[in-house]
Amino acid sequence: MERKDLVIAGVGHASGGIYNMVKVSGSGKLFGDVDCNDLSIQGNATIEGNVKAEMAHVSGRVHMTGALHAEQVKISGNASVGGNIECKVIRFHGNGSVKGTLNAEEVYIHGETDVAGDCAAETFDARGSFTIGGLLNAGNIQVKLYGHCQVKEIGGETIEVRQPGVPFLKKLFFHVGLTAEMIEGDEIYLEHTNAKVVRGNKVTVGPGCEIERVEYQSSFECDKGAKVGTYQKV
Amino acid sequence: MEQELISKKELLELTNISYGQLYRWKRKKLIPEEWFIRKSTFTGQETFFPKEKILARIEKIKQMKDDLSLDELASMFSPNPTTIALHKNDIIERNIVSELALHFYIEQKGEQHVFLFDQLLQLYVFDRLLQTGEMSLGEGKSVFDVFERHYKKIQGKSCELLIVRKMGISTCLLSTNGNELYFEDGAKVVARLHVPSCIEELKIKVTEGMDKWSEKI
Repeated sequence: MERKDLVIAGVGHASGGIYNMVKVSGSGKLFGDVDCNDLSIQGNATIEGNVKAEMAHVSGRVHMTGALHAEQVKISGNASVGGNIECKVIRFHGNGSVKGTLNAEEVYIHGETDVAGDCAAETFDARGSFTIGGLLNAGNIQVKLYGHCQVKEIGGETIEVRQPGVPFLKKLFFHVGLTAEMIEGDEIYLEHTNAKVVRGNKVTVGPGCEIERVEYQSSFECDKGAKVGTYQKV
Repeated sequence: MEQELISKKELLELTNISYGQLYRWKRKKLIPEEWFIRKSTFTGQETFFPKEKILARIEKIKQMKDDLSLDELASMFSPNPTTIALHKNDIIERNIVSELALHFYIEQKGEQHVFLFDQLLQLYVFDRLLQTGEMSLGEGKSVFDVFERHYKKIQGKSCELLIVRKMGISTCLLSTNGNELYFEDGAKVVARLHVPSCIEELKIKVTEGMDKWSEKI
């Protein structure tokens, strides 16, 4: 079947279905599941249903009630997804909120992101602020702290949390740091992290950390400016 | 159904794997989500696993991870059937199901030469029930029917096949995971099969056979 384009420029609503390109530049509402090659939202859109797309690009504001299934996702505006997200590469430059779980190969967070469920990825690269309600499970986790980050649990191979230079005023008014209940990985480097338990093979605790308990296998290093309750070799 | 649990720490010590490996396998869905059981202990929340299942699974992964990629392993353990199709002669020669079961299936469903994974699964389940003597040949038809009609709907979910008998009349049903079932007096559950584990066994049987098969050629 030939796929046709759906363009809403102005105000309008349409039903879901199979399209080539779905473009909303004004204000639009789509009812039903959408299957398209290209999803581009520059205005304001509500999609009542699941979305399947090759490329999804949101520079305006979108609200989806269902799940999002795509190859490439880029969110520069504001997006909220009611279901799960499954994709290859996802970039958050604006504000993202996911009510379900996020499953991707690569996740880049530059803005503010909120995932209610678990987040699984091969690469997780964040330099903004994020909240993950469940487990963050990724092979390579790189976090640059520019704001308040909160995760229930972190598990992975390489976990690196660093705080680059943050303006003094920002530090004064906002909390800049990572909070997690449990962090487990092979190689762990932490800065400005607040955690109950950190378990790993090679654990390095940098400045500004407050950790109740560290369990390590091969090596453990601790910075002078860190507070560690107990540490134990297992 | 009390099962023995093992904590994550003990598991890693016992099997000699690292946190990274465990999380990678979880991410690749080699270890199902349901096996991660959270319990609170004095050090906070800890994760536990059903001991027997997880040890067997990790042993299997360790054995096979050198020959197969993680994705291949994942498709082997996933409850979603793979796209395997086998020829009738292969099934018998490689002893995947007994000849009796296969003939009965053909008798019921008509002559066919190539069997898809779904059909193989029906056959495999049927054959297992036959071999254990829990079911007679005639009752097999209801197994095929229930699978054919309803399996598509619950595919990918964990489910059980039950055979119930009362006063010599038997019926079979598929039930999705975790549902409790209560029967009237006099009804007897003759067999209870966990379908995903059957799928796993069948997949191993099929893929193992393929290696040997290709060696022969």
